[in-house]
Amino acid sequence: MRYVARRLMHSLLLLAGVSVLSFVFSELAPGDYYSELQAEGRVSAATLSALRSQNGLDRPLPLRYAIWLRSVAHGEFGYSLAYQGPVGPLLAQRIPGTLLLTCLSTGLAWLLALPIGVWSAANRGYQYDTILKVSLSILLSIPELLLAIILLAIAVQTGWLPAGGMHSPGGGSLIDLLRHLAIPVTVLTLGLLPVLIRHVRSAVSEAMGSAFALAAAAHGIPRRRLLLRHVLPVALNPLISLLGLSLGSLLSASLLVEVLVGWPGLGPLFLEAIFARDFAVVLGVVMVSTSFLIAGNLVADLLLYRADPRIRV
Amino acid sequence: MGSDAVLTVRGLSKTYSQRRWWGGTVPGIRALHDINFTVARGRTLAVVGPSGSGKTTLARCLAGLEQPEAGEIQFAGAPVEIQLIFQQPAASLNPRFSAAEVVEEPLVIQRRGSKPERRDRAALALERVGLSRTILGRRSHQLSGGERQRLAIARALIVEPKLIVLDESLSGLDIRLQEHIARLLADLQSRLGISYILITHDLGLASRLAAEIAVLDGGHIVDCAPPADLESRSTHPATRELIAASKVLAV
Amino acid sequence: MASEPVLEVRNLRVGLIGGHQILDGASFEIPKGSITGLFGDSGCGKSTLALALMGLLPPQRYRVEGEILLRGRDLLRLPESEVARVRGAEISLVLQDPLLALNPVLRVRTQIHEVLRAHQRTADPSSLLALAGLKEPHRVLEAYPHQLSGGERQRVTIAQALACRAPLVIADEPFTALDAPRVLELIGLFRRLRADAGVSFLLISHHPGVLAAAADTTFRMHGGILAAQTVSQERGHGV
Repeated sequence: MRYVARRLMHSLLLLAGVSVLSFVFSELAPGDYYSELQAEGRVSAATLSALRSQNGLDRPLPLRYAIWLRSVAHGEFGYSLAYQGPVGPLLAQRIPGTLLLTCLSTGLAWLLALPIGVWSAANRGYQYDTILKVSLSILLSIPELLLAIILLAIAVQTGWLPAGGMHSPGGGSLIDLLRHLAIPVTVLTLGLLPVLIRHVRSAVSEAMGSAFALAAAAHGIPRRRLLLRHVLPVALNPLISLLGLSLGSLLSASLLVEVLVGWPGLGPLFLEAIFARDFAVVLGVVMVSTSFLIAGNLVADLLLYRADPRIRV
Repeated sequence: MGSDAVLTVRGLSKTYSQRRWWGGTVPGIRALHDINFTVARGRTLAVVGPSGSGKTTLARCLAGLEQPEAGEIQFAGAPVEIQLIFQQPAASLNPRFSAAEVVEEPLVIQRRGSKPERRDRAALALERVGLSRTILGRRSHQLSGGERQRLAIARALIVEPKLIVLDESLSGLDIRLQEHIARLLADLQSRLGISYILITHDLGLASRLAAEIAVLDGGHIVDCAPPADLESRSTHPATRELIAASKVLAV
Repeated sequence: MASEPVLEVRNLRVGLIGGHQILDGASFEIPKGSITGLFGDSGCGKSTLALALMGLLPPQRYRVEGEILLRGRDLLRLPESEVARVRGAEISLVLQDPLLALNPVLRVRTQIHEVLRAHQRTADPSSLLALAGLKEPHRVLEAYPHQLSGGERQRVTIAQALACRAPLVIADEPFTALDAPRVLELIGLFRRLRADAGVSFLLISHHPGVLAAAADTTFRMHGGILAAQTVSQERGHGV
């Protein structure tokens, strides 16, 4: 339990660090929320500076950071200039969408990668394995965005699946949700799958070649049980670490896919805020993403602690 | 600390514990209790005992791989060159290194000598342990178990340390080879004044090489005497058992 | 010998495909109920022989020819599925390095149970451990391999081989990590098992003194073939 407490402490420090860095980067980036207006030239300089000082944009960086921290403490997470309201509720509205997509895709990818990877390791060198390897390489080289566009185009042409969004008007049932989920989840899962399968295959292969696997075979343990009950638990060790990492890469990919498909998650919000330089929202999304990542890695580390007794000495 | 003692160990104790995954601890296994001994310069101390007596724990504490929770280990003079040779050489050899790189590694780490010099010393070290120069280019997985063990010894010898701790390093070797290496180690000792701590379960080997034998049983040193006197001075049943059994199996 | 030998090897040749020959016409017999020793320098192919007898040499890398007659059946002529059934049930192997031979993430209890299950036996794991000479079977059962001492691990691997209840047990260098009293104990164990359960043993070792004390007959492996040597011959030469 002390371990968990220590990790949570580290996580808080990490989050604080990320927020500081983000603030510093925002300062370095040219322009602020009102730069657009300024560029258009229709608003007078006096009005602009009045707007800026009203919203605290002219205050020094540390002070702005302190104000933001206080806002976080109150649960508001800053103030969005575009939406003219606290950032917190905006995030809360969008988080479930991203969470659903990310968790579903990660789960599905791993659920597929494990059996396929194990099968591939057990059947190394055979015809079907070679076909698999080639297909995966091809899949790996297709950018996710391209995949998304292709699927969307097919959806529009055939009308089998809705071409974006989360709900159809008048819909709201589970089936409707699943139909809308189909394309983004497929894209994300296919994007992650080749890498995962490779890792599963190599971890299982290595474990299969070790002395204890030979010993178990010598004792007459049937091949299938040997693979699942003896080899896989040992192979899981490096794979659990990979789980934490895969969550991170999936998260980044999902933000892009959400935008393309029109899925109401953090992605579109994020992109909008970046273009508008609505910095509070940008920071809010970054914080949420970082928390996801930290949580994912923490879960992975705890799983590892549970799965591998050698770590616990 | 005596003037010609290279190593003094006092009151050394070490316990291992295992944590459960939900946070509790399983009570520990006391591996070493209050160990005391001295190793003189240019002499060999053998630590013999069955598996589970704490021999490997002792070796690891000496090498600094484990932190004892009580007692102290004092080396005379600083820096002291100490090398540790393990029980399972295959595990201690980097599989990506060629044999030459393995043997040269200590020199590389300490930045001693130029590349050709290192090569020469490596070849020489290999010859000393009975390996031919043709091994130089091979990787460790291409060598037999015995060859790998000799390679590990060659690596330790290359820096000509003051103290070498050998943790069952000669156990996997053929009798003929064991004799050869034992003679080599004795030769190096008389020429260079290297001290050895020989950790082994083989009483015969210990008797041939060591000036003094310490018998370890259940984490305690139960008897300590020169080989010739061990039988007459032994007080502990573990020692007597060891001596009797060794006689039966002697070649 | 009145009864049939439990194992008869005729002209066994094992080579690396695209490489050198490891065994070049090895022939020997293990009489029923005997303890046979196999002596040879390290790297001479003793372990390869053991693996060949078990049918565990991958066919992509090794070329195996000759005859291995286990209770009359030639193992090299059987399909893999049959060999898998024979493995463990009629011939079992104790590997050389107990640390590597045990699964690092499973408890000992599970690992013994797995072997029992594979042969549909319901013996009590702790009795098997006690049979293999372990003094605290309950502590060992709950432990993971890395928590045990080298000697304890080895006895666990022996217990696993015993769990199979095979009439022939091959032990690859079982004595290497043991001190003299324990070696004698292990020899006693092998003798007891031979007497009580009629198990035959093939003991592989590079220590002539131990084989002299342990085995009825010892074969010496050199240059890919085996030659029989009697006990007194071993002692005399002192290698």
